[in-house]
Amino acid sequence: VKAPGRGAALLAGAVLLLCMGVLAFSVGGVHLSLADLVSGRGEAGQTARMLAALRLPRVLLAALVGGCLALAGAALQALLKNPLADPFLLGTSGGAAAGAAVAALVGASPLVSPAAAFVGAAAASVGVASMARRGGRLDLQRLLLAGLIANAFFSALLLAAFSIASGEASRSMLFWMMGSLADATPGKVSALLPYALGGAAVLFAAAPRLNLFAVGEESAAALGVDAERTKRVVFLSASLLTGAAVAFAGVIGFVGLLVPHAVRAVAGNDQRTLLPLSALSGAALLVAADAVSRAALAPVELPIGAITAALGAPLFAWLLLRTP
Amino acid sequence: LTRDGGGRPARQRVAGALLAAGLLFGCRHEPRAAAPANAAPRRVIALAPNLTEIVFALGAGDRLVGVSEYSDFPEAARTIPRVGGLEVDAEKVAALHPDLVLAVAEGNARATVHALEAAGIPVTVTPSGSLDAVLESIRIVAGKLGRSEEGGRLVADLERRRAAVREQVAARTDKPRALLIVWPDPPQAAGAQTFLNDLLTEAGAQNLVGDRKGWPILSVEYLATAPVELLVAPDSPETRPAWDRAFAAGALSRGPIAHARVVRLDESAMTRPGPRVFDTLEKLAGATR
Repeated sequence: VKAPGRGAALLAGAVLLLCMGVLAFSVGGVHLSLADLVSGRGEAGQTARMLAALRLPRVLLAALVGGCLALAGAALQALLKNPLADPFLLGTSGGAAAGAAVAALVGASPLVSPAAAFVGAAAASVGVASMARRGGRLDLQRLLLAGLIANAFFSALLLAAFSIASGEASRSMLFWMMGSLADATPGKVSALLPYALGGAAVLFAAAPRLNLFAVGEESAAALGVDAERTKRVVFLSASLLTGAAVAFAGVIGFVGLLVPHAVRAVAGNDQRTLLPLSALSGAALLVAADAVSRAALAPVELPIGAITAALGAPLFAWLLLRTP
Repeated sequence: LTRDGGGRPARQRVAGALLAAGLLFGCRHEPRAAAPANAAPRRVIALAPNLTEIVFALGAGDRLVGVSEYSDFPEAARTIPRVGGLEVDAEKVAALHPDLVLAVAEGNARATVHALEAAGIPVTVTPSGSLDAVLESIRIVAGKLGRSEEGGRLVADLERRRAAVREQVAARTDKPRALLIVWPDPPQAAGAQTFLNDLLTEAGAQNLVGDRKGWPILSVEYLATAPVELLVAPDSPETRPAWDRAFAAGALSRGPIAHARVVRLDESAMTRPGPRVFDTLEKLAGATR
């Protein structure tokens, strides 16, 4: 496949995200009349405005979370030169989930759980990175293994917390573990935004260096790239993005793994295109998945993690089979 | 009202195997005389709080040697040994040498029941899903305890009170559109084929999610726009903070539901499919007027 130009690809990604956003804003279990929304008059107008106030932050949060997860996945895949690399595989999401579960268990207010998730994600990242360090270098093989260890540990912690939690606490915990955007508020959107933008800026700036990594670490070093510093920066930024996403939306799988693969199949492996296009596509995918979660079984909501996995698994299988 | 435990089946298979082994070795020096097949059980374990209440209501509370963790009614139930909450400790159950274990179809894991049965412990599973099933459970438990007469009297009394409520609401023309929310975050309602749906409709309200089976988790958008006139919710000191949050700024704070009449009823008397649910029915029928 001949890769399209970078500008054209990014424009297409932005248009896709915009279309999905408009579509997701207008569908849902409850009909939202745009005419009533614009006029804002009478009871219908008030209802429309209230619905919009509920739905808009949700669409925005879905976009930010999807973008964060996909971008983190793309960056980790480039860094580790391993198509299986994913924030989930490296233990970051597990750490975030365990952090929030422990907070719920000790009876902390639900308002604290994003902070606890974030602390868990950070602890997981630092722990995995230090396990993977050998002789002052971040060893990529060891990084994957350390991720495996972290995941085993955190799922043990999660299961234990879940088993001893009270009936009420465990119900909220379960919902959060399945991933949900149901509690989206403007406050959450604006709290996630700086993490998303900061992480994205650092990773986009690192894209040319990641391109050299694809050639090989030694050649990258020969071309003047500080390999260790790049690895650290990329790894921590990806963890930051994941921790922030999990903190605000729970555990949503497959986005970080699937989106970069799909984008690479279409747009090639130039990180300067791949990273931003993954972010845009991940955002569009999660916005669409959230619309499905709201509309499919209304007034019941489906857990969004189930939708991303249901979409992701067959698509991933197809990608795998068509790759020679 | 149920909870999914990821590793439950495997864990319980292990528990079952341990239990079986324990019994195998225990049998040799436990020549405990097994009760004759037709004698009424003397050592009963109730695996759910509503079953504990039923046994007490039948006047057989003194036969309970073990109860589930949340069995706190009547007062005398609090001092009976606990055998676990949603996850039953099969070894503890076996160690109490029960000659009857009572379990519920909805809430107790099927694997636990199988493990206990495999260990040779007689288990009776009571039905759920309607007020009729509550009465049927009372009859079944009474029959197993050899107290069919008491059971018949209790059921007849509850049926009479239920019929009185039915009569009381039959003449009403404007039945309030209602939701019965069992838990606020995520908001979970009683839908079709639940005893709480029967409770709501027999008390003279229309269940807005009466066409949804089970315990649907409702979306925030639906709750903000549904034409709710009456909101019924359980009340207990432990869960009050979660409800307060939902009413103040959460799922119950917007749209018609925020202005609906709210009826809070004692949680244990409402959400347990036992005799007290008919007290709740009478209270709710009074409140829906």
